[in-house]
Amino acid sequence: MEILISAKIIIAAIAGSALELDAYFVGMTLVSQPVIAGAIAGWIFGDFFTGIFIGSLVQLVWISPPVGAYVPPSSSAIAYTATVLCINMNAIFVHNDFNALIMFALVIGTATGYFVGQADIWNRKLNTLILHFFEPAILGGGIWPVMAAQIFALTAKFFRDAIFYLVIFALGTGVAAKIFSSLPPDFLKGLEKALWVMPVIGLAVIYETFRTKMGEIIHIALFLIFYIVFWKFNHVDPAFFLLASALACGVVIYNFVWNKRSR
Amino acid sequence: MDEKKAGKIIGPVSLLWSGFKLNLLHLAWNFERLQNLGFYFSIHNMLRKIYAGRTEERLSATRRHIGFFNTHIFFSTALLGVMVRLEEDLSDETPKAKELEIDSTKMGLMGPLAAIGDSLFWSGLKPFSLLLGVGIIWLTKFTFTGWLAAVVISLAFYNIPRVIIKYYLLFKSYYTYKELFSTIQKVKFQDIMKSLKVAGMGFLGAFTAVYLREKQLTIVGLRWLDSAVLCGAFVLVIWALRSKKSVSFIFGTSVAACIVLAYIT
Repeated sequence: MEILISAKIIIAAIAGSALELDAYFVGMTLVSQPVIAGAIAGWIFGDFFTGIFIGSLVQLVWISPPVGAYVPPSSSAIAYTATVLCINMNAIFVHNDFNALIMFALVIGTATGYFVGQADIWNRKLNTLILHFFEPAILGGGIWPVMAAQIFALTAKFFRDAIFYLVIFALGTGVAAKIFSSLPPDFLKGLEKALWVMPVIGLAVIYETFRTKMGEIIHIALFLIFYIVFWKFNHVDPAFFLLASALACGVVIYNFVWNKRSR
Repeated sequence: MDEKKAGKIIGPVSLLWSGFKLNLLHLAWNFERLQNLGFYFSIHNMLRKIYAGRTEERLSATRRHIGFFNTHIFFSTALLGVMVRLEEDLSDETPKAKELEIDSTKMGLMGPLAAIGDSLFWSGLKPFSLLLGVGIIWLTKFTFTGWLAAVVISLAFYNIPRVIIKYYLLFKSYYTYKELFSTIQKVKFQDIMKSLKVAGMGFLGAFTAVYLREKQLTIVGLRWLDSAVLCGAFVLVIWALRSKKSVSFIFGTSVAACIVLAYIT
């Protein structure tokens, strides 16, 4: 079995587990979101474009918040793993199906994200044991027991993820590359088609997240206006896009949401 | 506010420090008492100041705050402020009454604050700011500058309100805790949520148009037919989501369906 181990893989494993902390356990500032995590992984391995592409795709699909006590797959882990595997697989063997490779890496990344989500449940169970262990000392009133409990919880999560990423990146790349290179052409075509459909899943997920009656009207109106603008000019300036969308939304919100009660 | 600050044991720096420590609220999240360790970690330094030289009372307060705790991470500062204020103001002559008052206030506040926080941040600001970011990245064709702009805008859109709400609630709840609920009621969270959803749908409409026009043809080779296939897929995904299917299930099914389709065609 081929083992890939390098300074980049070790750095990627450490950076990935540090990012995972922000997803739920520390801060929750959004820096762990796929759109950033994918780009960081891409930057470490020298292919920023692939990182941004995979990150934004994963971001679209897994943008919805979890409901209740459900622990979802880690979208950060999905983007991060998929980017690392895709770039490394692309570097170690010759092929003509980069889109299929991205989709293949996304499938493996999703499985990894599931595992990281599941492992978070184990961490929370471990935290219960940590609480029981330190509680008598905490009830004695000192700060050190509670700090120790926090540090234990932090290191358990951090090292678990770092070791997991290290194993996946070092061992998984070679195995995944062998599996990919043995896939029949029709299977690869199917993966390419799946990559083509992915943004649609994301758009539908966001549609359901934001759906309101007034929202549906403005959605259709702006869709038609921008479709015609693009059809006519073939390109639109991103700043114009943002300003025009913000202005349209602002006018609707001002008139139909905020003015409603004062009238 | 200055009058209210006068005579208080806890100063603004201690409040800020405790508020900052609430970033670790979820760190030792456990299935038994949820965020209790994180909350106690944040309030600990204040309890030491309030009960300086009164060990028995401080240990009673420790027992109170190591119990069950669960609320929204960014709105937890409001609870922190109220709890510190109650610990400071309520008399220790009747410890049972003090404990009852603090516990019932904590239990009464956790649920509503969690509900507001969940809907405002997890269902509103977070997906909206990320949608903006992804939209900018796709529009700028995955360039570094486009990505940088997207990240700055997304992070600012989410984190500026996060920090303002967090620390405003902390100071408000500590200095004028009795007005906390009337202050929260004055903020039109329903309207803010509705605005975010309407704006999100608007941006999504514009973004979808850009996506459909810029998409390279890969399935059938005719733009209108490709667009029709994508619209069909969109409707199917919406149907699946409304049938309570998870995103991961839809993702897996789509991959499998595309592979089967590739073998058939």
